[in-house]
Amino acid sequence: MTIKPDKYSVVGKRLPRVDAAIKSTGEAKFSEDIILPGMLFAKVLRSPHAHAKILNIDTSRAEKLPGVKAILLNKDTEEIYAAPDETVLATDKVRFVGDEVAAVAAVDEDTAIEALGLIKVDYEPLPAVFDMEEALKKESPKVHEFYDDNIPDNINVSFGNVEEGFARSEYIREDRFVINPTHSCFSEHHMCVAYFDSSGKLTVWTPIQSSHFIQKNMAYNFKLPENKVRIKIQNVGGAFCGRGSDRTYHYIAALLSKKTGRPVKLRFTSDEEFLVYRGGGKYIMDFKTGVKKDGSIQAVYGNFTIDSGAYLATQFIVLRFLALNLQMLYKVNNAKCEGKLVYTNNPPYFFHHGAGMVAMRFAFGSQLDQIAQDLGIDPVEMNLKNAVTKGYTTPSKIHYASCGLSDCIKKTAKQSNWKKKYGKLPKLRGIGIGCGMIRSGGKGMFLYDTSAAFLKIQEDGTVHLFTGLPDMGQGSYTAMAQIAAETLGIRLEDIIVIAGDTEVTPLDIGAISQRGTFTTGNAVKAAALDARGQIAKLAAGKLETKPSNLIFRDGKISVKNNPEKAMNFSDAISEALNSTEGRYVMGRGFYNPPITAADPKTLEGNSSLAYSFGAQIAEVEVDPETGFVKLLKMTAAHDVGFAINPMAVEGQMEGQIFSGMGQTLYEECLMENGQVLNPSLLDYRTPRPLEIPEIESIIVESNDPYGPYGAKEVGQGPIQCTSQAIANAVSNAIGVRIKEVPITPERVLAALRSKDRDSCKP
Amino acid sequence: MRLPKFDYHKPGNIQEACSILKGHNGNARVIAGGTDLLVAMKHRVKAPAHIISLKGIKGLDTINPSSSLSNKDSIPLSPPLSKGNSGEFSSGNDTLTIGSLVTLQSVADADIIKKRFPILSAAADSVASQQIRNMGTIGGNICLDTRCWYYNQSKEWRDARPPCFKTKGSVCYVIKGGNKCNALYASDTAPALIALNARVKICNSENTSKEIPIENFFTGVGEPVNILKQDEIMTQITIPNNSSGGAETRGAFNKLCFREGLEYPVINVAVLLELNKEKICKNAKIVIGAVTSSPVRAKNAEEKLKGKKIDEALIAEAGKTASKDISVIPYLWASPGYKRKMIEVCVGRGIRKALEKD
Amino acid sequence: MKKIINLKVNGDIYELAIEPWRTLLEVLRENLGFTGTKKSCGLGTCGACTVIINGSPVLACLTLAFEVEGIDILTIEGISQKGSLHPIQESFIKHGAIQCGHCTPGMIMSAKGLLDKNPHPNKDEIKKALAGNFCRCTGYKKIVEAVEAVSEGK
Repeated sequence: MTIKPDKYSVVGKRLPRVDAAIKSTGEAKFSEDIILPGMLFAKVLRSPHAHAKILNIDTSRAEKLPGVKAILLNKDTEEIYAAPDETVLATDKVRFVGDEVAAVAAVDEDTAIEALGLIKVDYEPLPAVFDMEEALKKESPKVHEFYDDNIPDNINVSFGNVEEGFARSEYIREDRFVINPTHSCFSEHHMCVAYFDSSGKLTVWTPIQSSHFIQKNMAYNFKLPENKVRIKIQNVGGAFCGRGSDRTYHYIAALLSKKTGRPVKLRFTSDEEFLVYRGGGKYIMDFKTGVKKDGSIQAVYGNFTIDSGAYLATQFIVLRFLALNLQMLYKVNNAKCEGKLVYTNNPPYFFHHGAGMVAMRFAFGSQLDQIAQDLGIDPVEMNLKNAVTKGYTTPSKIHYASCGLSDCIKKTAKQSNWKKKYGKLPKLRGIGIGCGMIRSGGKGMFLYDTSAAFLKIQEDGTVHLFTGLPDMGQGSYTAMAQIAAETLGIRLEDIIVIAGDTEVTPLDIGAISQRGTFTTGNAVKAAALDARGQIAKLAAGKLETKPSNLIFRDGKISVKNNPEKAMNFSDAISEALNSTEGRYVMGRGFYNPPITAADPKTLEGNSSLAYSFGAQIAEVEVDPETGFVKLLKMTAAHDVGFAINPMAVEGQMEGQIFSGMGQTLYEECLMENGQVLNPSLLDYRTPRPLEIPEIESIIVESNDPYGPYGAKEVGQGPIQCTSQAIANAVSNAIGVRIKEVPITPERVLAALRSKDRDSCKP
Repeated sequence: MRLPKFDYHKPGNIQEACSILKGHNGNARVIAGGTDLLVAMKHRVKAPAHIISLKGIKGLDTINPSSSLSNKDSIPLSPPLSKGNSGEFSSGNDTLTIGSLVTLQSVADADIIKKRFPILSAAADSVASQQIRNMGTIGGNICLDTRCWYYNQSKEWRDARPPCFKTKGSVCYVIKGGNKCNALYASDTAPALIALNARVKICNSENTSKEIPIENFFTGVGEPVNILKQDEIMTQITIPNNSSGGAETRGAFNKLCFREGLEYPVINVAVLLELNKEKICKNAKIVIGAVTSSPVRAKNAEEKLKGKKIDEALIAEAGKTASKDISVIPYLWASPGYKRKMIEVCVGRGIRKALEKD
Repeated sequence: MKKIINLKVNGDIYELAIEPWRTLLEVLRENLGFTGTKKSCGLGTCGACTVIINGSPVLACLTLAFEVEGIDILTIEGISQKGSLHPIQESFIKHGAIQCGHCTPGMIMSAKGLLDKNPHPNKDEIKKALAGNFCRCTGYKKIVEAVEAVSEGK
């Protein structure tokens, strides 16, 4: 790790999280900890059929059960759509095992559960489809009548000219890669408490990444003014891209509250988590890459077939992200993407970590690695040769104002001893590299990508900082407080962060698309600068200098080059308040990257200002008898622009490497007839402490010109590299390419057998 | 997740507990650690109207080294072993009794078990997690219900399919077209105890009891998993001193899991070998768990080892024999083919581990 | 159906009228307001609800409240006395072992259970002791380091 000169006193420091103490004691409140007077408990009745017509619902017995306060059916849902293809409760048809049919609110959970058992639903089962290739056949059952095929979304986008690129290529490889469904496994389950009070105001306590989305959508759907929808995000027990938007359960709880006039809590059990989770679905990815003999990429073609499950929700962004990303990591002048989302009667999917890009990076990275092997090129060199660089503009007009990709590759290679190890490790040991990138926020969802912040300063110089950015564990409260403290020249502990409550905090698109540090960070810095400007004006008079000549640091305001001339920050604030003007210092600011969203058809345009990059090198050991793969070590470098808090950056990197290892080697939702066969933390095998690999984190600081103090994201960037690095290391260890994740012991043994067969061939 | 409603009983002695069981005619269950039963109840796989706690019964939570039990009806009352008490056997014929309510962690940590029956200690220590070992009992681990991924699911999940044999239906989803329940028995301690020739004591509502070899405790089918009758409770485990004159006992417990910690085994193997001074294998026990509906002895593989000096070729042969003899049940991530292969691998590894000291 | 029982939580005795099917987790959170003990899977697989009973870490979600009547129950609220944090809590904070914080109380209780029994565990013993606790954020590395630091008195 680089040792920073003391350029800064708060940012760039390994400081403990501002919320760590109350989290360590359990005092930190999660939505589940919200208990309100008169609160009711809701439960949802789910379909036992993968595909069926609802003929009749009889709630008469449930209604008579003492303690039952309301029963909700589709007809009571005010025609609200939670997503364009998804009503709040099933209308006349259910589309997956677990589809929501009715909901009950009762005085306690036991009564609500009992009531569900008293609701009688008559179904007429319909033929169902679970396999994407089956679903694409003409005669296949249609999951939604609205579409005459099962394809709710597709894409066909080209950048440059792939035909020419392939024609120019000296070596072309085509492979099919598959990734299987995975689950986000939040520690805190999906849940919410909703309360329509007597003034007609709706308050919703829920773990979510963006209070803004859900506030807007719920206001629209309930035909309420936006200020009558209050979203209160408590602490959030993990998100990993899975808590982006409002879902049916938010509406179910709100409608039940509206019906009963009482607060309603709806929380899902661990079994239900596997129905409502919307992790990543199955991806079938056909990749074709053409290169020159020196390894320079000439053209890439990717064709994606993605299981959307029974509903589309907001997955439409996935294909666009995938298409763009084909030409964002490497200097690829010709890229073409075709792809479709396919409806099936599987549970609806969404994505798990980085909008489908982990899957795509696994495929692309594996193919590139194989090409390097085929051509006898060192994979590190192959990556370096094609890596995008600072100042590069991609065919789709994405521009990199900062880029530390080559640096990341070189540093991981050096730190991992790549040169001494690649091709020289003992049998069944392997080493592999993976590279990735991701944007730091950007436009697309709305015309704006705005974050706002304000702060107020108490007479003693302590600060309340208000932002709309929730903390799901990534450490945003701390990062925002560090930025504000540095800018004001005060200590981290002088700041209290209030975040994610739409009645109190300003607009923020939310902690999505890796935008927090970059976008909200810029807003916080702007707010702090605004306050500092007001203080400087007053202090400049006292210290007999120009405001621009003042330095704010360590609780002092001093004159540049004349440190003797100084005053305490708190004195300046107090004097401002006690002056004739009686000034109370409040700072405000907002940030919106000054760019326009990419064209929705051609996808051309630079929809973000900052992009982060990374490289990882994995070392694995394979047990040839059991097929077990052990990730021994991951050396990871990530270009975060500037690490506001290196300890938090490391934490993000370690968490993502671990999670990426899980997706690559351990985790899979095993599906049968639309049911998850392993819907529990017992059988859905996320790795645990005994699987921790050695991790070496290298923070690369490319100092982004637009980022607050040069910072970019460390949200979902590091995990983009992990799968491919591990898969490439496995291939290096056993000499066979496994093109499907997770790389389970059985898949490894099958690969080893296929290799034995091949080597027996004449 | 909420539990279904039930009445709670806390009898003061075993006979009373057995009588309550009998009185409720199949609608009552005994709770020990609760780590298996309460999960099944939350899933509504089981919903007994009566729960009988054994916590009020004295003497079930102690480990006692004592002389061989001649009077089958008595419960050993010697003082419980405190931690750190090495409790040596006083003579070669002595036995160790473990009350069925002794937690798995206490079994794992007891010095006498570590010293004399390390394969049992290792097996108990390998179960699930620290918390579950602190709660779960040896009796519960032996009486563990069989598991199946079509069965150990929430009621809502199971409602999507017609009931299977284990839920009083007539299909098996694991072995399509199967005519019996093929749920898996995945206890870690049972294979070790079978290898150690342990016996279990079973009490009933008539105030009588019997002791049977633990090997005969299991039915071999997924449902019902063991031979306990409606009014019977297993109260203690007795392990004889296994070493016979002049021979050295070597053991190994080998467990294969896709992840370490909090997982049922893909397969576990308990190996016990008796070697004489010339390193000839006088006796061998190989017990394999989590591959069928009960632990199974690989008797033909044992025979292969007996009377011979064990070398790599013999180990490989024993592994192959064990694999060939057992008709395996798959589990989620492990196909039958994989499991068969793992029997071969893990039996081999178990034997090697047992011989490791050389 | 309800019966009056006395629960001894963090040294204080609470008299409660509850039904036999109530778990300790439900009673702690819903009847006594000890929400520091977190609720997650409810099936014994995540360890978020770990409390210490008679000195050993156990799962509150699989413990019947009736079964622990009169026994010493220690929750996360009981380990930081008189406003000062427990050394394990201090270490978690210092080493960056906390992210979303939902698993943290359970993780700390498991670590406490280990260190009370074995004050100087090695790395593998720490990992083994925490294997029953699910964390999706940190990758466990800093958690293990935090526990290690306590055992080394750092």
